[in-house]
Amino acid sequence: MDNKHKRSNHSLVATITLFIVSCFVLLLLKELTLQSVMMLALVPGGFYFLSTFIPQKFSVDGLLLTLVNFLCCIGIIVLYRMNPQYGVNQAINFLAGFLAMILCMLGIRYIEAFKLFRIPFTMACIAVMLAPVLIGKEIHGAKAWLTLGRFSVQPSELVKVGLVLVNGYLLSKRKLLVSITFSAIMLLLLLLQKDMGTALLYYAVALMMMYVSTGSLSFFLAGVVGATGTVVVGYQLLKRIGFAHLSRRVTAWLSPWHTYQDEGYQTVQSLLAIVNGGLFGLGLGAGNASNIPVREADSIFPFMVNEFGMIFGVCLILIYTVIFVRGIGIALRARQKFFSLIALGCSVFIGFQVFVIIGGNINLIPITGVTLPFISYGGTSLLSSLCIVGVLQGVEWVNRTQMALDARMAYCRED
Amino acid sequence: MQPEVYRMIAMLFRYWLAVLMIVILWLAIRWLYRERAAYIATLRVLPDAGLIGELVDLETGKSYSLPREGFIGGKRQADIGLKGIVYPIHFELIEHEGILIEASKRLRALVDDKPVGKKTFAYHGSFLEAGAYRLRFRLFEGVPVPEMNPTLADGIDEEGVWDFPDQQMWIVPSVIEKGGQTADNQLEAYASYKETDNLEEGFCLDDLKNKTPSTEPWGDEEWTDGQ
Repeated sequence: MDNKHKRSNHSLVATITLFIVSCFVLLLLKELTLQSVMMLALVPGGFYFLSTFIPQKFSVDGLLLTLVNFLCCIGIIVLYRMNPQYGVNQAINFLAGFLAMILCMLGIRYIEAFKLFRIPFTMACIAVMLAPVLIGKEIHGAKAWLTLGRFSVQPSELVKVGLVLVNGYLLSKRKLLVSITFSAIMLLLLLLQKDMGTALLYYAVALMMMYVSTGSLSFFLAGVVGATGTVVVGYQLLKRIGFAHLSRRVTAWLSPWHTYQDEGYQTVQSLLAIVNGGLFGLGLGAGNASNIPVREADSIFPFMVNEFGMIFGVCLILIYTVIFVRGIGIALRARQKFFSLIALGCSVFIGFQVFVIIGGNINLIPITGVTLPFISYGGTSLLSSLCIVGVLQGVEWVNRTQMALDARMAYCRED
Repeated sequence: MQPEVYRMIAMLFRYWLAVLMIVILWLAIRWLYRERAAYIATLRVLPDAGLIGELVDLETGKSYSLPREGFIGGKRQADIGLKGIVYPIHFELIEHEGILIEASKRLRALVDDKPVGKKTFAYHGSFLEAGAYRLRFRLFEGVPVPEMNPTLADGIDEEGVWDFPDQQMWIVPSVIEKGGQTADNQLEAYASYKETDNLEEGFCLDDLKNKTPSTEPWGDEEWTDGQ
């Protein structure tokens, strides 16, 4: 990499650090406490250190790492503004998630071990998904949580990486029927948990992986048409078979203003918050979006747009797009089908999840209850998102190693 | 700080944060495009990137570029398309072990005259027989696999297709005309390859960039002039 390129990469890290410092200075002015001073010192410093030290130590994708760290820091800033304890918790979750990301990245280098233990791993994924159905806690209509002491864990978030790895392996060996069976089991378990948002994500990722591995457009169209038909037909059955919270969400989507005092309240408040923010927002810490329900998780995007503005919102969506495009690029550069498929699966997870959550916030589609990757409050969500990025980084390491081998084989020596 | 004063400061800061966000986005997109351009430039001077050699059809002389992993079969999705191969053959480079060959027993494929089993590996010079096809693996120098198939005798092989030096053959020229040459031409071309060890230890990518790519597969004197 030439010096000019390195300097421009460093410019991005420096600009982001400046952004984070600016935000924390503002929050410090709002409320001068020891905690806010420590956050001002640790968060920008931690971001700068992780975004410069890690690419030097490991052969990782610097752009992907920098942008993911930036989004995590935005989450810490916004959550700290809502409630300082949320911000501190999120910062701790980020550190734990970052370590998990490094482990996943290193794990890809020893992927042969996964191939040896693939069957126990698959069984473990199914068992983990079955646990909430049997002993789970119901929150907001979905029985998708496990309580472990004072911690709550959402297993379906953790099994995302498992879904990608297992499907990637099966599809690389052309075992399409086995892959369909495994995916169907996962979807059935999510249906039993009444977690339709995550089921939609799983379905989209599995379908995309199968489409890419088979190259069959008719298969893909059949999947899309089948899913649409199931949703349309299923909507009529939802009310009768215990999915009342889902039918309420569809009603809220179809006519939020007529139901703004009931089912449509969250949607209406989200839309009002976005509009009130205008282009530049009302200012960090000076917004008026406190009425949005679940604003720390599902509705964090409208809250951010209310304070930072629509320009910020659009830039945020474009940053997610850059991350998605980068992930697809990693998948395209992979030389082996397994790595290509798992990189694709991870990218689609991030991209589709962003579409689902932001689409729900702006009433493009019904609200589903999934979180905004890297930003929303939630240890499990952040952990799984960072693990997915770790898998992408691992695949990129493999790509770079193989490219270096190609260059050696062509008798080229790097300067 | 009083809420009204804070609100005014926050409203001033919002423009600053919006500008920073736009700059961040612009720098990120620029980084993305620069790395993509660098990758494309690298591929231009490494046209064999991703390939580990070729698979030569001994009947027709046609050669198929060999990726790191793929399928040989008769369907459109196959990486190496051979009509008549009903059950696909999966091959994958396992570093320091060889090219793992996996095939259905119904195909009755053979690697070096042995049926394809659970852990069948092919090496440089190995034969692969499947259906009506008899193919031979030809790997680039530097591919991290064990040396030649130890079952082949040193020097002249039984087929007489080409002579094997002690080392694997040097890198195949980047332009390989597929299907345009007869088997005789191919044999002649292969025979003109000479072992050479007078290449420099390595040369940088800039040197490769300055070379004019040859349109003739065997026409570049530098590649074939081995003493």
